[in-house]
Amino acid sequence: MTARLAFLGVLLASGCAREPVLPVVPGAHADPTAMTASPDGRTLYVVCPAQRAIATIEVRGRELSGLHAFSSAPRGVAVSRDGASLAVSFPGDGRVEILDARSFAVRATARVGVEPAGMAFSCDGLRLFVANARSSDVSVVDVVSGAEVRRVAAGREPWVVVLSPDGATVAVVSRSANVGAPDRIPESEITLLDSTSGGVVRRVMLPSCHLAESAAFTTNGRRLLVPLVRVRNLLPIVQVDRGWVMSTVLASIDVATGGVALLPLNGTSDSLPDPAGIAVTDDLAFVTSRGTDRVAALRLAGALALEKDAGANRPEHLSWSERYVTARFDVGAAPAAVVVAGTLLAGAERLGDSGALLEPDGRLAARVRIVPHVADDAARRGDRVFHDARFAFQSSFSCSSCHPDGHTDGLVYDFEIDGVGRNFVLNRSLRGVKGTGPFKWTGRNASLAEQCGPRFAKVLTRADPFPEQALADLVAFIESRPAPSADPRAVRLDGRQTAAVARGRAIFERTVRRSGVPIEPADRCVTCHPAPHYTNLRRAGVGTQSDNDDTGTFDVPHLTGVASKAPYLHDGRAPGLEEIWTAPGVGDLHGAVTDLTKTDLDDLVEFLKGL
Amino acid sequence: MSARPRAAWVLVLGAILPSACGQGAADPPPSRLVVVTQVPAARAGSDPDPRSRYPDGSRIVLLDVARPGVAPRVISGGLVAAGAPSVRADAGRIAFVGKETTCGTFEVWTCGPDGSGRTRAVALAADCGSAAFLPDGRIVCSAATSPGGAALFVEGANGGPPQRITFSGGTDVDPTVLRDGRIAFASRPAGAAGFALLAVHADGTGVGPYRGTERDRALLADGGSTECAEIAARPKSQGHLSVVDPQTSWGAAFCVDARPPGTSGTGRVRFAALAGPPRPLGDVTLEGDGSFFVRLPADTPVVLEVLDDSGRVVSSQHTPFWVRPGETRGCVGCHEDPDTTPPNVRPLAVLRESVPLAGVPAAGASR
Repeated sequence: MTARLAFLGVLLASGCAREPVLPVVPGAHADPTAMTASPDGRTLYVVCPAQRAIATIEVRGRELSGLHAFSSAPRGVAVSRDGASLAVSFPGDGRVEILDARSFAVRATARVGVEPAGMAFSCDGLRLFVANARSSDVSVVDVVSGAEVRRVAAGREPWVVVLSPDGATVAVVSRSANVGAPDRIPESEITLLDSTSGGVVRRVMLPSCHLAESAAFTTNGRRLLVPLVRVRNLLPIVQVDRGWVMSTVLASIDVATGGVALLPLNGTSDSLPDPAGIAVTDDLAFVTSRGTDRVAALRLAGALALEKDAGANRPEHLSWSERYVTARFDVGAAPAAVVVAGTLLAGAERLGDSGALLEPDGRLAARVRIVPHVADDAARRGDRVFHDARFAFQSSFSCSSCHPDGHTDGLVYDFEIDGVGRNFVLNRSLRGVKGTGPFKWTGRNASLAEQCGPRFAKVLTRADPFPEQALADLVAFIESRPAPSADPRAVRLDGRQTAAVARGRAIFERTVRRSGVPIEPADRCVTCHPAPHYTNLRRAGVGTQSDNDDTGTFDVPHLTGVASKAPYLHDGRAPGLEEIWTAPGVGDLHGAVTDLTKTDLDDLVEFLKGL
Repeated sequence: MSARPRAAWVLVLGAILPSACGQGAADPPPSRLVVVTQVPAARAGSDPDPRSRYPDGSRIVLLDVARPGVAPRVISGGLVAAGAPSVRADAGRIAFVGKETTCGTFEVWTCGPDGSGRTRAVALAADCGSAAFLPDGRIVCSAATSPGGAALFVEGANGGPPQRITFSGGTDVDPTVLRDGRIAFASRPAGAAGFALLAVHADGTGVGPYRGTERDRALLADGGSTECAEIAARPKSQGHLSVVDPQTSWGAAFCVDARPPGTSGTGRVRFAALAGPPRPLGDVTLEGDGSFFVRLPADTPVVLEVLDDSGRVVSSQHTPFWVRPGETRGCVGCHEDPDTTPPNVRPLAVLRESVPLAGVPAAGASR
């Protein structure tokens, strides 16, 4: 009898012991960037793009229970309200997979728009709403068949999709501001859809707001809460304090009326930069600050009581946040997402390769590593510098605040260093810049180290320059960032060029006009934009000097991934690629183009999109 | 037989100590050292002048607040009077002011955390009232500039002469370094009765009201102003790279909208310098959006009034501000709450050449 019990004990012990979860990509980080919780709060699904996997964390056991591999890097994850289905988006190939949430068996695969990101299931779990970041639209997918049944235009770079508690409304939140005239106030869009028809109910415009990466409905469903950056790109950058360059706000949108109130999350001398995630309970909201590795707890009643004073176009009073931000507590490196999981709060710590489970008062209940420790190399250290707002005065912003994902926010700024009210410049992408120096539109900085050196601290961060090692690491990180991918719509799925791209290439490389007259070398596209980076690394005058510019020659930009970099030209005056040549007075100053037809220009643009 | 001076001392703001002591325990708790000013009983003055605040006999002592039975240790021995201790962020150095003789000048001294290695720090001929460490280790101190007047000075880089960084024309004292690297200080305009709490970067730029709230006041990085500073390492404050251009004699300022709330007309802004008797600097016409952009003589206390179309004063700023050489600063508007964020607008005034006021080059200057 005793022996039988002992044997049973061995069986139970062996049955309970969990096999260690091995990395999908040994030696690689996990980079958890998005997260959702099962409806019962027991399981966390964590997007780990660097592992090309979804990690599962059991909340009760506070342990990693699985790392489910995919063929490419995922970006978004959503779970159906019954907890049975999971959706995972793959930006690299415009694909969404609908899975069994327990077994991860694929039930359907959907082809959606370009670079799908956030998603939400309808209440009945039969439809999936997918934000297509690159194509700026929303796919409505039939979950059973995987067929895309509708495509709806959204704002620029839709990033987040959330479903209202009553299941009636789908909110699609855009990360980037819409491209507009460079002297106009930028606006980002929140698109409210009817969850049944997929039709647009309302487009809510948020002036001077961008970089929303999360959203949540209040539990009564009346308001949509979106933490984002309130940018002041039109003001000359002569100081940083008081939110002079940017501040963090919580947009509270009345779902019934579309009314917007902007509630500051910064204090008078304490910032909450780079808001990346939000989670709500009945009484509280939790907002992550990726730039300061913190989570702020907000008392919703206090915040919403101020809405009448906080209309979208009214000034923010930073001391307001004292009335509702009840705590700011530290979490792991670069918290990218936060969800409520039962009685706990769960955060994805991107630069910690971990998930954190927190008590509502901020105490750490457990930290779950997703992959074994990976030693930092220079680029990884630089990644930390790039996302650390503590290098700026009052921790107001990080590099990523203007360069999300190392890319660009697409806004035009007025820096003091080259004259207040003069020389407005478009913020340029940092992706794919290795080997494309000199830098700045004036070509003044020979290297990235110079670009990010003491002068940068003097004119922008208004604090100490980066320490020498941090600067070297930062440069290593920036140089490690790949160029944005070509627009897949300009390239066939088999990787070959479309016919339009081929025609556009011929125009790009042509040496004679339509009339047969030779084109001077200086007027040929390829002269200034030669492969591989499509820049000759020099400055050129292309007829774009305005009364506000001190010079008429500008750095020739590299063109890899150019389709994702709108707007264009040094001051952002061209909202699209075609407008580079169609503005009045340009003529042949920017290459020989006046003999091109509209069709030719379309082809040329298609070629550029394929770079 | 002459009576010995009574050995009675008053701890400046000594109320801090009991709360720091905590409850006794069976085992001796670890030491917790603080440095404080002791002033002879009933002799401390409230005037910021160090001769009033630190009468002869004032001294700096180390106290172990975890061990109340341990006698205080004087670290300003040999000085006739001393006060205003401040501790460097790494707890490796203490600064204070003191004088060697009754008729001598209050100077800034530094010493190790145990009082050893005492040296003079800042070479100023006038009385220094208090001092604090900047993030880079240099010292900021207040020093007399005129009878009753004082300004803040920062130790020169690489041993250079001290640089004046405040120009209110009144009394600027009690610098305290904030975690964001700015210096909070008490400022009393010339002729005014009370002090205001201002903040400024270490190069004297960006002066304005200190906008701390209840929680933000916890950001005060050192205890210098309370005259009780713990000798313990704390996070280093942020640094600041100076934007001052010593080759220039002027700075610039623009305002997003100087008009009182709810008004839409145009008007003017009248500027005056307060260095000595008020001196008119000139008028500037507001742009249609209420903005202005002017060039101001540097390092000069300036006040302004906003006038409407009929010349009536509709608002005014009596607290002087200044710009440093080469500095350009912006303000939201004279009427705004000090914690208001600016709107995202491009002021019309910055699209034009800035307007030079009296004493500023009229041409040849960039914006």
